[in-house]
Amino acid sequence: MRSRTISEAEGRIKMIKMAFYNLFRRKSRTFLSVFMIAVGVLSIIALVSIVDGLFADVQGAVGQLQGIMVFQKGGMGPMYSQLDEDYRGKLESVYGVKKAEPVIMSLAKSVEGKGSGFDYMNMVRLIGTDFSQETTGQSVSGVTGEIVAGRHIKPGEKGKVIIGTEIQDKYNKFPGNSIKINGEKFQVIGVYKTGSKTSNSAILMNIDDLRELIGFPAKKVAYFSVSLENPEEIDKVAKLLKFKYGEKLQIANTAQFSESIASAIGDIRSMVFAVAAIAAIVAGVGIINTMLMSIMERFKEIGALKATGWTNSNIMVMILYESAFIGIIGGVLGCLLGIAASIPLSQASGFDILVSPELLLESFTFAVCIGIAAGLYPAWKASKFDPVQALAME
Amino acid sequence: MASLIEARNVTKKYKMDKVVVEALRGVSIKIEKGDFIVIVGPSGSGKSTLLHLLGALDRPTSGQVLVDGKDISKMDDWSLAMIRRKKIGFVFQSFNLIPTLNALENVMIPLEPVKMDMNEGITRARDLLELLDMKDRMLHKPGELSGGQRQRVSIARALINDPEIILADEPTGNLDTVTGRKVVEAMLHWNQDHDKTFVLVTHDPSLLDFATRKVYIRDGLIDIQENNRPKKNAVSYHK
Repeated sequence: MRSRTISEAEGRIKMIKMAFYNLFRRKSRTFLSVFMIAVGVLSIIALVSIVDGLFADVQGAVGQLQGIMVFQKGGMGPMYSQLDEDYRGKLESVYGVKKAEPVIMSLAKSVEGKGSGFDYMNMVRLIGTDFSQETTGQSVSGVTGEIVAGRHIKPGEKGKVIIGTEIQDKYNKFPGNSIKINGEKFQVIGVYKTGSKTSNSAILMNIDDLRELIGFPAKKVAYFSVSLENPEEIDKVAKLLKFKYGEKLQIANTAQFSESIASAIGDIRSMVFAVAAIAAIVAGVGIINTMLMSIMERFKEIGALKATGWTNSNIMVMILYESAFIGIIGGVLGCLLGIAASIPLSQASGFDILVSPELLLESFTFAVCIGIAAGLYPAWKASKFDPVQALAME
Repeated sequence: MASLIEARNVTKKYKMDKVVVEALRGVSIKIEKGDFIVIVGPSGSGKSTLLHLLGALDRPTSGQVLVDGKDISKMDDWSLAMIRRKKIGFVFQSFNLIPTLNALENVMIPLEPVKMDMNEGITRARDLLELLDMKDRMLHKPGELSGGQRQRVSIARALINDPEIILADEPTGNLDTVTGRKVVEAMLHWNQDHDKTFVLVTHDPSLLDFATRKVYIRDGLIDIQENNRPKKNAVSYHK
């Protein structure tokens, strides 16, 4: 027979401990409930982290943009716009405008003989710009970046390209190599790098080369990338441009553009979270069922607790602790699974996903809320048990 | 001086499907301090129902139940719970212990809502179990205890809040004769040495020998109520 001295700490009874131990009465049932919540949390983390990664990259790309973009009004954006190249002089005559750089942008049909089909995330952008004036290192066609290998295209130089670091890694090309774009050979003379993976997935060339390559109309450009004498005056200059040319041209302040992208992606994120949360909500329904079964099995025991002086609210709190524990354990497990799944998910999708501490906290909190919410009805039901009926049960 | 608990002409009716069952049909009884009352009667006589009303587990359909002079028949659930917490301890036939907690923790269950200082609670629970000869079994769970030991844990639980009265519903019903006798002797010890009031409901007429008052109940009415001089030399309980 075991016999030892009881310390003050031993034998402590807390409602929390009692609630925790109650979960282990039916281990497989508790495990299933926890697992369902974990799967719900995992799906939230998996889907939202994709959006977060995309958002970070797009925001990074947009954040690299400088100045003002001027493109065709009423069109489908700068890539599909067509403007007369004469607008260059007109734009450069506006107060505060330093330079209006003409740009044509397109998607490569094939690079090195391989097409990207409809895989938008892996498409290569072709950017043709005017290299008639010497380009310094801080800007790569209106995007903040620098040449990290080789050199820029010189004024009037044709048949040459500079490639982003993503293109360099993907096609294993370096300054001096040739690269085939849409079946035509070009020589790589430089590699550039910006702060965004999306921006680093482009090839820059002379605007006339690109015009010829894709059959863009002569004397037309897609848009102008307007740089300013004083970047602080971006709002003022944008307003001036709108005033003068707003009827025919779309004047896009890149800072505002960045905000609207952020807002749109924020909405998408919320929607994706809601869709992914459906799995967690279904798990919550499962917890309701689990808890109802659990309290019915403990009908007599709950009656005895009431007989000893436990109030209805004491009973409710104990049951809510139990369901909260299921949410907590499921939330932690789901977060761990989400972190573990992020690596293969990133590899499979081909781009960086972002499992942020904020996302983990949101998902965990959601799981706990689901657990508690699911416990409300069973807790209320248990609190209403008639102790006389409960104790009379055999 | 007011009785600890008094029932005045109480009735209790239950609706079972479409049938109304009269469990009590006008019962009056007074429980005084220091009483060791044994209520006997056949199954369905209403003895457990009476115990539930006396213990503020239920409200009478008509009549009054006064606890310390206050009528409980109009009280809400919370108020009844407070009465049970502070004044009444229960012992059940099937013990009703929590299987996931050890004996010490089970005894402390009524303290949880009271939020008593933990150290004081542990000390009190430990002392009770030692007095009930459970010193070496405190850390064992109900599944590791015999029936008699479980019932002693149940008695300790009933005493932890230092109630004035302990109500026991068939406390020996699931025990063999010898064990049952020991359990009743433990109760007698608390009655005689610690001045605790006990009301026992039982099928077993042999327990009447220990009563200070015998109550016979049949068909929802008290047949006979008589004072008794209990057999003191029958009390052989040692801690």
